[in-house]
This record gives sequence, structure tokens and C-alpha cells, in this order.
Amino acid sequence: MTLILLSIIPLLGIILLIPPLFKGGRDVWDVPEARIEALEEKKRMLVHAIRELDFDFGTGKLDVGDHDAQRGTLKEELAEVVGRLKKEEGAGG
Amino acid sequence: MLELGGVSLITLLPVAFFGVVASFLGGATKRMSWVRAGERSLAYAAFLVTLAVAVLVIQFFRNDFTNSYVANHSNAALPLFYKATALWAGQEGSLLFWNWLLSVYGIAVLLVHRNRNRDLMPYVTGILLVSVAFFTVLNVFIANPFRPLVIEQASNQVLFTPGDGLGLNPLLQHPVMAIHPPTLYLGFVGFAIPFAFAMAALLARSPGARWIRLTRRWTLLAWFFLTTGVLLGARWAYVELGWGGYWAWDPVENASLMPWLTGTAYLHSVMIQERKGMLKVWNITLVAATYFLCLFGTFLTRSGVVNSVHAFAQSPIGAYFIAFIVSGVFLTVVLVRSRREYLKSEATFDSMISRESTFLFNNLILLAACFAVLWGTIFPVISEAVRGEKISVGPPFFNKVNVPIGLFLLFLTGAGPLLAWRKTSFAGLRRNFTIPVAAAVVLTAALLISGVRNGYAVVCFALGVFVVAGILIEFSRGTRTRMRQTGETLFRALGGLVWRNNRRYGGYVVHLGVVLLFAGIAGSAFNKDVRGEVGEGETLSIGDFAVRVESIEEGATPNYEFERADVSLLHDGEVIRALRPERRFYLASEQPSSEVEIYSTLREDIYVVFASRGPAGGAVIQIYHNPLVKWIWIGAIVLTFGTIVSFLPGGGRKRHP
Repeated sequence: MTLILLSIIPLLGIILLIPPLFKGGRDVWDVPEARIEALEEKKRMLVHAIRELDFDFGTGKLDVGDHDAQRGTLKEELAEVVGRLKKEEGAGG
Repeated sequence: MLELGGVSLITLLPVAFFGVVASFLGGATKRMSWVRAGERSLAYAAFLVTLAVAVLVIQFFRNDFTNSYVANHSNAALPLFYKATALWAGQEGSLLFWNWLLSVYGIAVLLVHRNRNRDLMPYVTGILLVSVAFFTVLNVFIANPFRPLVIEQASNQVLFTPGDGLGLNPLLQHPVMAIHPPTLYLGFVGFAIPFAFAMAALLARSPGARWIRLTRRWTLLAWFFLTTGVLLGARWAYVELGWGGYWAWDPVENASLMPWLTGTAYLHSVMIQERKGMLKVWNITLVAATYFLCLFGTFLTRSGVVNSVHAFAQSPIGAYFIAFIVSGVFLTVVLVRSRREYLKSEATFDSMISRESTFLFNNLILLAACFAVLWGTIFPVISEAVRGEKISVGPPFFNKVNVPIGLFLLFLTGAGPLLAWRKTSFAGLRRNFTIPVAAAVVLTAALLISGVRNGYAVVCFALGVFVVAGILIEFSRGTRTRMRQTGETLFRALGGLVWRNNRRYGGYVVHLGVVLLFAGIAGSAFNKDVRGEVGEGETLSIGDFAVRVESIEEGATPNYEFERADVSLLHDGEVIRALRPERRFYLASEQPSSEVEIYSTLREDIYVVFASRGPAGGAVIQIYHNPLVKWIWIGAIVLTFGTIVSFLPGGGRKRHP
């Protein structure tokens, strides 16, 4: 009786783990293309950096001059990344 | 019952290995059938290891001494509460417990992420199952918690069921030991999650900081548990070991500190990658180092390779751990090298006077501390291997190296938040640093005038004030700006500020907790102690305090015999508290233990130990006067609160600070 009860444990494993393998089919999941993912990442980073810069300026950690100069540079970079992203997405259809 | 536990573990082994193969195949071929089989393997593995844990706990509750592990770590008179905690009292049970926590974490990760990050999740599942498989191998072949108790009889091994067990180590019979090991293990095991995601990102060729964003809360959770575990361990050592201290640079304490140091470095350096796309290899290295140091910590605790109050007897388990860690490090290095094109930095440092540069220094300092602790910890093993002689490195080495490192770290804790990201001008520097530096200078002068001459302590208190002033300025400026921009009241603006920027301000609260911890530790520079035999009605003095022994009594419980001193604690001649330190002798394990009594205030602790009976029949009493210790535990609570604030979801997009 003990043996029968104990054999349920490995049997249950076989019943649970093997059937999914026979379902078959190649599921194409939505993997972001590496170049686009990198640009999206950069865009997110720059938007975050601009927010942080504004926050630091708001709390008096930065002078007007420093803030404006850094903000300008970040905005230029962001515009370039957005442009490249649009081009990549356009090329990808 | 024994068979049920054994069959669960033996079945777990092929399930875990099958899951590893299925998950990696699923990730590589993108076939959902393999992916789902891998996920089911993890789920079934979690069920099996839960079953094994449940069986072992039931055996403890039922005093089932047919199980060798139960017989060696419990006895019939052991309170029920400690029967449950005996699960992790020995090598076999604690490895099973590790595996159980890992599988529970794995299920939680699957539930949260499996449908949203399909490219990463098969690899994450596979990597977690590799660890599950490793611990299962240990549990099945080396440290099986379901071995029957056997004895040699006429050169045959026969099954034996003793009338009672050997009992639980008295040092482990303390309420803190019910939560310290699980908390520490939740920290150790928790770092498997960011490690698995980092490796998955490399395997899936997923560049960028996505894996960091996905694991931010998992990492914070693991760091929180590790921090709490380390501090609870310190608290346990303080109230249970009876030597008047909370940190002895014991190898096993060090083993928990090392991943904490690299994990803390990682928590800071990921912010640079998230903001500037830099330090990608560094972050992967740090998270891998943290996970492998967690495994190394478990190895140190379980192998008995170093002497420690925590470590167990010599065991062959060490070789398996070393092989697993070395293989893991090798595969990580190979993977990082093969994916280096995805790991290029996207920017450079704009200025040395910026927040990111303080983070970089903080990383270097934390790693230097980790290396020093690692070197001191494994030095006895190295010296034995090289010179055939085990040379231990004591607290003086660790203090000499780590105190200056800690103080510099405290300075960076204060300086970092005062600097802007990317670049801070000299005018900004002057504006932000003036008040904190002035506060530190004033406190230094006040301490020197009042006669404090311990250099490290003075510097520590001064830096503490520097950090606190900086934090208060940050809160004050943010709140005032928000009040100006939104017209909110003070408390509403403060609440809104923290809610919308919970990661930043939660971090500042954590820093505040760190300052309190440092203040408590600095108090140890002024520790004093006295020891002597005291008869009934006699006193033993230390500074303004004295202990008068009123009576000494003896007694017994089913679990232990005891000798107890009823003492009055006097301050300036006035009785302020009755204390009852005692010595116990645990019957089953035949081991003695001291139960200390502590009178604790914000200013100092008076720590009273009943060391032994003296030759004249009196009580040999040891009194420790430990200033500021309570601030360590208060700091721990503040730190916990700050971590919870950082962990919360926060308030979304920010139009105002």
C-alpha cells in the first residue's frame, strides 16, 4: 500500500510534465528587435534624465546656466533618438 | 513518513534536470511546448520540496526519532515553537529550507513575469532550476534529511529508534533564531532572481536595462531581507552569546556581510546604467558576485571549513559548493565575453563632481571592504593550505581595515545626495555643502571641548551629522519647492514629495538608518566591562552603575536546569531595575547557556551576565557598559521603513518634485 502511494509522486510528475511536449507548434512571441529595444531604452533613459535634471534644478541643486545647457544637450539627443526610432520602425513595417 | 520525504526528494532530482533542459530548449527554439514543460517542472519542483519540508516538520512535531536528523536536532521536551525552527538547525534541513525558499521565489517570479517577458522567462526558469537541481543533489546524495537512524550491531547496521532525541543546540533556542535564519536565507536566495534575469538577458541578447527594471523590486526585497537578516544575527549574538558584543567578525557573520556589500554596491551602480547606459558589464559582474557570495556564505556556514559558532562539523559538502560556484563563475565570464557587443557603454562621465562619480567611489569602497572581509575570512584556510598551519585573523585586522573604509563610505552617503546628476558647478557645491559641513564642524568642536578624544568616534559622529543635515536639506528643499509650485500645505507637500519620488526619498530614509547604525557602532569606542564574584547583598560597580546580588536560586524545567541571580541594578546608589540573569544546562544536548539581562536606554546598555558560581559560593557576575547600542536597533527599524518606502509603487509621472 505504501509502495502504491509513494509511486503516485513520480507518476504525477510524468503526467504533468510530458503532455505539454506533444502539443507542438512554434509560438512566435513578441521579441523586441535588439536595435529597436536599444533605441527605446535610450529614449526612456533620456526622458528620465531630463526629469531628474528638472527635479535637481527645482530643488536648487543646479544653476540656471547649468540646467539650461544640460537640458538643451539632452533634448537634442532625445530628438535624434526619436528620429532614429521612427526610421527603424518605418523600415520594420 | 521517512519514505514519503525521501521519494519527494528523489523525484525532485529528474524533475529539476528535465526542467533545466526544457527551459533552455524553449528559450533557444522559442517553442512554447518546451517553455510550458519547463514552467511546469518548476511548479512541480516547488510542490515536491514543499512536501519534503512539510514531512520533516511533521516528523519534528511527532517526535519521530526514526529520522536521524530529527533525533539529532530535537527532543521530546523541546517546546513546539523550537521544533518548527529545528528544521534549519542542521546542515540537511537548512539545505532543504534553502531549496524550498528558492522554489517559492521561482513560483512568484513565474506568476509575475511569465506572460510579459517571454524572451527572458524560459532562461530565468532554467537558471533557477539549475540551483534547485544543485541543492537537490546535495540533499539526496550528501546531506539527506530523511535518513533513518542506524547503529552498528555486530558489524551490521540496524535500524534504531531512541527514546529521546539529542535536543536542539541551546544557542538556537532563542526567539530571534526563529526569524534570523529564514530572513537571511530569504536574502541569500532572493539574489538568485536578479542573477537569473541578468543571465537571461545575456542569453536572449537583450541589451539595455530592461532586466534591471524588471528585477528592481526583487533586488530590493532580497537586499531588505539580507540587511534584516544580518542585523537580526547581530541582535541574536548580542542577547544570546553573552560576550557583550553584537559583531565578532566571525566567518559566518562575514559570510552574510560580503554579499550585502556587493549587493549594496549593485543597488547604487544600477542607477548609473538606468540613467546613462553605462557600467553594463560592471552591473552584471556585481549581481553575479552577489549571488555567488550568497552561495559562498551558505558554503561557509554548512561546510565547517572555518571555525565559527554557526558552522557545522567538517563535511564533504564543501567540494560540491566550490565546484558549483567555480562552474557558475566560469560560465558567467564566458557568457559576458560572448555578449560584449551588447554591453558597450553609451556614455561617459561628464564630471568628477557629480552624483554618479560618488556612486562609483561608493562601489569601489564597498568592494574594497568586501575584499578585505573575504581575505580575512579565508586567510586561515589559505594559511593552512600553504604553510600547514591555520592562522586566524581576529577582529583587530577587520576593524583596522574596515573602520576607515566605513567612515569614507559614510562621507559618500552624505555627499552623494548633495550633488546633481551629470555635473555640479562649484557655486552649487558651495551652496549645497555649506550647512552640512558647518554642522559637522560645530559637532566636532563640541565633542572635542567636552573631552571626547577617540578620533574615529569623533569623525564618525561628525560625518553622521553631515549626512543627516544633507538629508534634512533635501527634504526641506523638495517640500518647499512643491509647496511653491502646488500651493499645498507643509505636510501634504512632504507626503506628495515622498510619494512621487519614493525611490529617492526612501533611499534617504535608508541613509538615515545607516547613520544611526554608525552612531551605535561608534559608541563601542567607549565600552567598559568588569567581572567579579558577588555574594548575596554585595555589589559590583561600573561607572555610575552597580549591581547588587539579592539572591541566587536554582531550579529545573523539563528542558533545562538553571541557576539564577536576582540582582538589583543601581544608578548613583538608587535601585532602577530588577534583573535576573541566569545560566542554563540543557538536559538533552548536555550543553550550558547564558541568559543575559540588559538594561537598555538611548544613552547606554548595562549588560549583566551570570558567568558561573564562584569558589566562595557567590555569583560570578560580568557587567558590560555599552554606550549607544540601542541606536543600532533603532537604525535597523528606520532602515526597514526606508526600504519599504522605496519598495512601494510610487506616484507615477512627476509634474512637480
